[in-house]
Amino acid sequence: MTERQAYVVDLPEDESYSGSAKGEPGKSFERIWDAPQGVRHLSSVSHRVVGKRFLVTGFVFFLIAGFLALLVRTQLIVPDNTFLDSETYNQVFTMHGTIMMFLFAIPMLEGFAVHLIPLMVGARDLVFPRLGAFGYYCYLFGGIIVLSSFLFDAAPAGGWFMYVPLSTSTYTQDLSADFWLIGITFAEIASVTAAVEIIAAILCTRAPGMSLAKMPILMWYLLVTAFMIAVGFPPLIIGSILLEAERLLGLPFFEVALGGDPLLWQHLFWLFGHPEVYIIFLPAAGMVATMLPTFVGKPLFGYGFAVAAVVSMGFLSFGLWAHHMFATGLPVMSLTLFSAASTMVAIPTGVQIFCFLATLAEGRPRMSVPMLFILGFLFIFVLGGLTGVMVAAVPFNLQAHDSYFVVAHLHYVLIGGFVFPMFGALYYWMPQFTGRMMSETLGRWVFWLMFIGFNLAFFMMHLTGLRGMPRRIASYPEGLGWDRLNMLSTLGSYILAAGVLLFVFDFFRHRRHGTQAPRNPWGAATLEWLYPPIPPGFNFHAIPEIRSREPLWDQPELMDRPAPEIDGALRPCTDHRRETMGNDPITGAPLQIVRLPHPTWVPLITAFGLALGFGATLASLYWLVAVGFAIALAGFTAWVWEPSDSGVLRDSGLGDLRLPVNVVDPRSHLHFAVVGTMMISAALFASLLFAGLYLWNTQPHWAETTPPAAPLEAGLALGVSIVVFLLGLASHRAAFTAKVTPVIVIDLGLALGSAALGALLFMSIRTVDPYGSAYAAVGWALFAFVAGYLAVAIYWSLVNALRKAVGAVKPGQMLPNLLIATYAKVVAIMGGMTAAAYLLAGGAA
Amino acid sequence: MQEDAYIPFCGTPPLPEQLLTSWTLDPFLLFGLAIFSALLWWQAERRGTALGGAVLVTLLFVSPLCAASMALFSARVGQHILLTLVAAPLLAAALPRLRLPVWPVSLAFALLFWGWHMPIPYAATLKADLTYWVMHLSLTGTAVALFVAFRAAGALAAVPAVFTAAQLTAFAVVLTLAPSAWHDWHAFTAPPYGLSALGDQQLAGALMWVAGGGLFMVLVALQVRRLLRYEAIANNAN
Repeated sequence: MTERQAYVVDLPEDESYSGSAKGEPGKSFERIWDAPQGVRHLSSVSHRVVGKRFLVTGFVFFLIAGFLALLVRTQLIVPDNTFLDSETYNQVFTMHGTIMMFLFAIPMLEGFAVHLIPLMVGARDLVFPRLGAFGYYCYLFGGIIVLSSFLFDAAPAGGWFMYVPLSTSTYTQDLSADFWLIGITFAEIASVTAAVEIIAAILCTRAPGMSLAKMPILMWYLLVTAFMIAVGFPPLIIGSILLEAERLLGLPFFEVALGGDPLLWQHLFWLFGHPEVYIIFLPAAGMVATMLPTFVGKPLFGYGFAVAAVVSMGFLSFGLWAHHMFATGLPVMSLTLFSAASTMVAIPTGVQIFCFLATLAEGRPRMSVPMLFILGFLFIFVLGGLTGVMVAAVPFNLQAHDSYFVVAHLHYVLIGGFVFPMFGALYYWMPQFTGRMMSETLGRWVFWLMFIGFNLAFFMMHLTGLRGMPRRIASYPEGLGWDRLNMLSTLGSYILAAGVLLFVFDFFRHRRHGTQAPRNPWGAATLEWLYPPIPPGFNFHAIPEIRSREPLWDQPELMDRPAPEIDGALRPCTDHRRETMGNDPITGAPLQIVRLPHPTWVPLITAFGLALGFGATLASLYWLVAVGFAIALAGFTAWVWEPSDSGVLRDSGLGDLRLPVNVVDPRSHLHFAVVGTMMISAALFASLLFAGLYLWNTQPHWAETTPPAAPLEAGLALGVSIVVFLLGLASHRAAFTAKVTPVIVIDLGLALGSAALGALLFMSIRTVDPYGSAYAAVGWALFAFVAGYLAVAIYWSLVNALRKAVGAVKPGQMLPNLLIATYAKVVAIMGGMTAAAYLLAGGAA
Repeated sequence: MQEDAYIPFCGTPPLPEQLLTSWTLDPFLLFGLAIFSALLWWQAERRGTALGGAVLVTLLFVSPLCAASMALFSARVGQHILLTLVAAPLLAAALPRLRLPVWPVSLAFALLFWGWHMPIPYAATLKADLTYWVMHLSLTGTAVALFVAFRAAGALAAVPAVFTAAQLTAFAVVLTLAPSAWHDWHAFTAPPYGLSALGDQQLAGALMWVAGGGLFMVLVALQVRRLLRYEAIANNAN
């Protein structure tokens, strides 16, 4: 991204470049931002509506998964129990883990992110409200698919990490693994869309003056988390797709007899699974870092150190997955080093914990309920970290592997690192959601019940594990020394559950009887408390200028008057559109006015189409799959078919500063979304390449005997990929030209080039039998992947050409050309790398 | 090993008991390092950092590590890690700011790093001084360019840095999990150290995976600290 000036049309302001194509002139500013009522509420795209839906749905899944955990504990309360049969028991613990990890923890943090980011950075809504709503519906439908497996008595039973070969069709013949793979992959769409959304929202829609270093610390945590989701989820998505393709189509990715490798699944799974732990932990730690200064009354100690620690932790977490595989026969030479690496992560974590402790030491904390949960977090998480250092030692690891010690360790990390901070955060931000305060008295009861119950339940498991009890067994004989410990663990789990139930009770009680929350009830320093709870639908009448990291403490003009009277940007609502400020991602300087969508059904319809497609795949109704995806495609088309507002200049309300609307610039929020999307795509592609490289490396015999792809076509494909890349460069330039019609040639060229690239890749791989070996199947998977992206490129560039042909694009409105340029460049690289892989794999044979 | 008996630049692979006395005091090397250090001293903006970089580079080629890298692939990888992830960032920090295109440099570094450690190019570096020095100069040069580009790109270095970390890790994984040894050269040179050639290679891979990853983490942390500090200074000036 260069420092090129934003391109604004150099024309007198005539009728065609003012106003908004989709404004609602009859409505006042307040009415424009009102959430629709009744059934139309489902069409709302407001971040506060979507955020609350994420939180409520996530919490419901938490209760369901918690209930499953109670079933597990009840089964284990006495030896030789017959409360559950072993098949049901397997289903119950698998679904407990699956729901907690995928349908509770990640969506819950997305809920907080979606709800809090705009309020904390000074935006009126999330930067892509429709994407947020779409992600929510994908999550909801995906979750329902996974949960519905109980109705068909086909709940997954292979453990939350779905190891092959147990989960292949040979050993899991019913649909249970398909429910898992399809439902979870669908729900993960919500995670990756949220990642794009979080990155663009934090980088592109901050209040004037909020530089990177003045962002609330939570924004850093969420930014790093979003990047980690973008890079970390793709390996699992690819792994799931490969496994589903093996189950559905019989492609031999993990089939040993045909050169596949079950360990490939473990690598892909843990390449996701290890960062996943940090993806869950970091936002929670960020919330602690936000709440702690409020209760101490001092800024966070060591902001810069904490940020540096979080970013480096994000990097490091991707190198550590091997330590989940100590027992799989990794080279002995490497074990010590992996062990050292696993202890290394204690350094950035330790830096953060010491920042928290130093903040605590700066003053006398007020012991409110959220503060109790923070202390609970510190206590439990540090213990989990200590047992983490223990299991990082290889000899101990081999001893404790798959025992209850590991169960205890992971629950100390996850409940300590996520659930306790999350409950603290729920108490802390509840006034934002309901406008009322939850009970301090009941809150203390909730905390102590949870804290005592948790430690009773899970501390005992360390001992049960050391006494040799393996995890995931449905019952155990009497007299092995596990009886009393299991009894205590089960009692502890009941106490923990009582705490959670009391929270639920208090939630419903406080909706009616809780005291009304005053403005800034906790005396916090961050922007979300600027308005009295609940903030108005538009978040800010005028978006204030930010000069401090603790604006509510350091900027008296923000708190000495009623919030609606605070000065700032975008007070006039000239064009009757939802709008917010867009900034330069790095410096934070105002860059543009971002027009935001009004309520729309498109996200729901699109997500419904996808759900239909995924559900029908599960039921093997392939015509319905086509219908579903056609609906989704129509939805996406309606979504992007928007009249452009680029080229309009408006007063920003900041002195004399006039800003362009939806600027045509590489710093545009839309371009950041494309960059984010392509980062995810590159990670998906890299995961596939990794699969190929892994098989080439560990199964050299199969790599040699698999017939090579046709080299001539692959060579031509490589050439065409360079042409597509150059067309991408041309499209980038074209976005800044004033003439519209000639650019159609570039659009059509892109479509043609993409089609040719796809065809040549197909011609090259055509001779290889995908069922012949795992190696060949990965070659076909690479083709199918790139072909999908090329199809999008063709469709998109044809839409762009069509829009220009029908006169829907005026000079200065060629942002789509800028966006597709970046897309095409990355797709060209992926196509070129695929062609090169075909050539190299052929050459090695 | 061969008839013409070319002696590699760092000498014949030493036995363990010879290792500590195997210093590479080649006059041309010392001369070259002296010229390099002088140029660096002349050009550097931060001379302390430059000195650190120059001393490290000198040690990497003069100390017994150079000889050890003839015997053990893991020592060679260790040398390259120190060269590209410690010496190169030091040199980049010492040099004046220069805008380099971050993506092309990242790609070049990736290609060179993978390429030079593949069997055929690797064997070539043991057959002639010229290839040996082309390898080290190109590898170190792009590594310095990489960190110069990262520094100049500031926060925009994030995605190329992710790419670099990913490709280095991927290479380490391939190396660690390879079922057979790649470099025939080490088949006879590693065993005196109690390692099979495969074990040596696995050690090299794990070293790169873990120590390389750890060093990269430190570099990322330093870059973030530097960015925030710069911004704080810029804000106070306003």
